[in-house]
Amino acid sequence: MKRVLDILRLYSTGIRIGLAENLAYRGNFLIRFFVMFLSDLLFPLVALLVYRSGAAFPGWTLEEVLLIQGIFMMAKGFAYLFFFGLVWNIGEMVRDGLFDLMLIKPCSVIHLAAATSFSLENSGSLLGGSGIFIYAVSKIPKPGLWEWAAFFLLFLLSLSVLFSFSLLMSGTLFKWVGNSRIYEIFNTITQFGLFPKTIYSRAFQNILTYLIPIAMIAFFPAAVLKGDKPEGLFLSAGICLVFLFAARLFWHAMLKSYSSAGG
Amino acid sequence: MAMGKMASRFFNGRLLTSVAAATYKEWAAYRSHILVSLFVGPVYFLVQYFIWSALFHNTTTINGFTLQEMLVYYGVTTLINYCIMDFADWNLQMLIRTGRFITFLLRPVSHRFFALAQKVGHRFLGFWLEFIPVYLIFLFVFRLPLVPADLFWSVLSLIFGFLMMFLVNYSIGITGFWLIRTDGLRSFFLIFRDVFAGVFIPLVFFPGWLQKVLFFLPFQYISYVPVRVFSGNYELGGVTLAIPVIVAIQGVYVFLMGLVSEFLWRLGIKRFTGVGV
Repeated sequence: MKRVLDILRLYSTGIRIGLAENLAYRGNFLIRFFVMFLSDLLFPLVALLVYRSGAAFPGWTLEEVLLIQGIFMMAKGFAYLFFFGLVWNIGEMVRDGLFDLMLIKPCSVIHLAAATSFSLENSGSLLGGSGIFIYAVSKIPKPGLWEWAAFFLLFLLSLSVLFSFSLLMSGTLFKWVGNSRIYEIFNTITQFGLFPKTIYSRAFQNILTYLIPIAMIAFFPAAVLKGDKPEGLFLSAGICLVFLFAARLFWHAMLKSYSSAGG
Repeated sequence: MAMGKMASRFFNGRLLTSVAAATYKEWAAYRSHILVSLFVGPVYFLVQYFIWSALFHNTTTINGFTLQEMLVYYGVTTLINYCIMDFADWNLQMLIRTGRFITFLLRPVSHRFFALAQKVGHRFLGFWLEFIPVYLIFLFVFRLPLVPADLFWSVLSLIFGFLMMFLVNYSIGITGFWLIRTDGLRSFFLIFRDVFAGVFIPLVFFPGWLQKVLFFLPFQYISYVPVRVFSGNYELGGVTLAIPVIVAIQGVYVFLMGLVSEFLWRLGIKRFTGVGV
């Protein structure tokens, strides 16, 4: 219990500092907030333009595709707001030789790095995603209580997948020092999650469901919300937990191989 | 004599090759960073392949594109971006913010030309490490017929695209003279630039009125025009132009953008307040 309270206190301090930092450069903060909002609207914009031209994904209406993309943006927005910054934080500290200072602090390095990376400007994605999500939900048949319950459970799993990615990426940066393109790799891989899983070949569907559970980021939560019973859902839910466990193991293994500026 | 001095401030062959060579060597030390493109480019293309294959399941053309033409569009866009990629905006605003820009004011060369030479070196490296390997992946793995309709016009349009990208980015970097933190503004412009350059979707998918507006903005000349020139046909906003005509217009726009960047530079440099200036 004390540990949980300590972590909460750590996050509340991180949020306070993050807010103060954002408000020091208000103009820049507002523009960045707007940019985050806009940049994540790109894929819905592309979907809109494509559907406007008369084309469509087989079996998927525009609103259903927007539902997937809205959930994807919400999950990513939430992750960027609360924990994804740890990748950047750890990467920068390892490169500058400051990571040793994190190691001597009396708390979890992962939580410390995540809490101190809080930035409200990242909430632009969350806001944009929520807007698209609300719009899309209003256009599909009204989900029942069970659909909503399943959706919230799967949304938590979606966040766990993103948290696993943040551990894999930050762990990689212990060895691959200062590579800012790691975000690009992440964005490219997770792009598969922005569209209905059914458009991919069978082999790719299996990879996205059972190997790297990208389909859990948005496809599965969207499918249950619209009343579908997608194939491989339960197994994929289990895979998400295994993925998280493996990512944690990987992070700690990489931490052991970290050699500080002092050798 | 004075004209010659003035011209050498804006173009200097020896400086170009020296700075380009130094930048090439500097970035060659970070080969693994550049080699990330060998993963990112093909995987991005693979996603596009699945998306468009699904969208074309019951139609042969969408907005005048066949599936093959659409895949070529994305393939060529990816490759062209390896040739024209640029971060002059980030570099310039960083130099201004940290005050390190002062060292360039003391040198007898134009900083813009120096930055262009850096880009030449950086992209030469990108050509070997990104363009050629990804081209081969597209050719042999995805079986994309990536052969330009006319090599001369394609290369010329690519050079104009290279210069246009640089000038637009450099002009964005100049905003650093007015603003302390330009990350937000830069990111905003970069999204705007890429969307309206046709990086995410061909511009013919936009509403007709917007296509007409885009025709007069500089963004299409960065990527959309070189891609269409590569394919051998150009169309935007209901206007179809012959390849030499659109490349000539692209050249005029590059010249105009050069003037805009020079104008912004002259306004901005008066505001520079580096340490001790």
